[in-house]
Amino acid sequence: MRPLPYVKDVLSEVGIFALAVATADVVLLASGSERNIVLLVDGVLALGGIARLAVRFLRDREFWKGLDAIARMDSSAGHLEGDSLAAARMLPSPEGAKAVSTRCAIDNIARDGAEKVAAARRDAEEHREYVETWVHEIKTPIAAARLAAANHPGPGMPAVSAELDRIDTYVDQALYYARSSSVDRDYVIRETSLETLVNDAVKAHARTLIERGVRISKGDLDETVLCDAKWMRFCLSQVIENAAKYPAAEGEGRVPEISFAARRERQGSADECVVLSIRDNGRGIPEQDLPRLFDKGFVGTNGRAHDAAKSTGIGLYLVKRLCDKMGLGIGVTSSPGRWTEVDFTFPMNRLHFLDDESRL
Amino acid sequence: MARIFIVEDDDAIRDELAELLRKNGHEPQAAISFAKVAEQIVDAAPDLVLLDLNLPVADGHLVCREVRASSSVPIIVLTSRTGEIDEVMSMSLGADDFIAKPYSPHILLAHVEAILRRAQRGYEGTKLERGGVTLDISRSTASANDRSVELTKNEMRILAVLMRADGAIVPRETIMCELWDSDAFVDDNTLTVNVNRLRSALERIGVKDYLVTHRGQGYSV
Repeated sequence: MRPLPYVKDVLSEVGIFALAVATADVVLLASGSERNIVLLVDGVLALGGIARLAVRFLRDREFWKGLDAIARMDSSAGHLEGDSLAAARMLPSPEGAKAVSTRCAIDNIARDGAEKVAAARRDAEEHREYVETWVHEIKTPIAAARLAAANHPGPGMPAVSAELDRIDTYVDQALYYARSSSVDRDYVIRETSLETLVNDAVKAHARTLIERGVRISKGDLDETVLCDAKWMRFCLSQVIENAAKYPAAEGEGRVPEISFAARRERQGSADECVVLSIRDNGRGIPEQDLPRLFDKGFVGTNGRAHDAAKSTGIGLYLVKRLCDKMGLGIGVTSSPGRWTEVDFTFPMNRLHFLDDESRL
Repeated sequence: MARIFIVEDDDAIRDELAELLRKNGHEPQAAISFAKVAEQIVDAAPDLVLLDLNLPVADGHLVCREVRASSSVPIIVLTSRTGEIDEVMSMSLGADDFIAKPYSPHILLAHVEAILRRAQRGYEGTKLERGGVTLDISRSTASANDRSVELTKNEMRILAVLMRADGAIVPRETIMCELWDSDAFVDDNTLTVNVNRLRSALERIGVKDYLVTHRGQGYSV
């Protein structure tokens, strides 16, 4: 609390006091007291009043100052110094009765808040652990079903296998959703062959792509990039799944095709990077949907179209989050009715990955 | 042919795994209980071990180490855990290979084949036989009537899928999946071309009408 607002705050008190003194003066003068004596009494009273106010101001000044700082904090910034709960516990102890009860109340609120936050964190962590365990358990029956499908080939089996692949994709989505909100650094940035990444992701969707008659064309992918292979495979899978999900309208007569190509950008500079582009010849994305593609739960015109498989609006949101965590770039361009292209940008400079602690 | 010991606590997976291996010309054997698994393995003296990490009694890593104490049999670790640590640990405890669930059966077989070839000098490789035709997978040759012909990778894979199916009709999609599994992303037309080439290759060793086309359904041998 600064002096000026404080003075304003006590103005009414000062006014009442002055009024009382003035009334006393009138009474004293009327009863024949000496002018000098009355002035002296006035002076003493004024000094006493000012001293009292000053003592009150100085005594709890630090406490009010701390409270002021908390009031001005921008809690949305999310920085450690913006943590009002922590700051509330660091407030200096006041002496004034009003300030003391304020402080007690704040302490209580802060303790309560901190406990609730800790409990929520614990719950979230337990939930994440449960999802991870569940995902690992469900993989066993999926593996068994896959083997059974392979052992008993027949007319219905490709369809069953394709459904198993879809189940697998959704299961992975749950796993990465649980992981994406965690603050743990559970990924490893390593040198990875771009070609292997693409091959593995395509293979993961082989049945779906074959069933839909999608042609795969690969350009030169002979590059080594820095990323977490498992996370990247998941990201590519989501993009491939989308590309297969929204082919051109029937009657356009196009054979669905997904092409993969890599190029180097900003060669020789510190920002040199490899861009992997995944382009389909599908129905494209309306311009107004592009800016919101990575929003959680955004479904868009294509996702709501009655002929398309239902969209959850989670896939691309997760891809963006995982890319952000790994320090990779992602962008989508499209020409409605003709094509969609997703570009992943892999920085080549290793220094880029050194500060990735701060991105968490 | 190889004798393969399976350590897997999930009944469904164990049975299907055994059937898959049997169909591909191997001789599978499974652990009967999960106490003293390492002892059972050493006693059975197989050519290869497929080991699941999550076991009811002892952890797979422990089994791995115990087996290594007295045997150098190749071990492939199968697991649904996806952590890096598991992979590194398995390898450092003496496993030869690591495959994460849910694996594709073709990939699993390819790994088994590769490990066997690496581990056994002069390993003959798996041979499939049906209707007088023998397919040598590791050499990629088909032989009949005392003649043999070299097949391309794709031709060999197509023939292998059909021979494994043992006369049942295999849908085109299934064959394409098999090819895609080994990074050959062929489309429908390319498959037809490959099948025709395979037919003429077989004709060169005197085998005619071995591949049967079932219109709209697929192929069989």
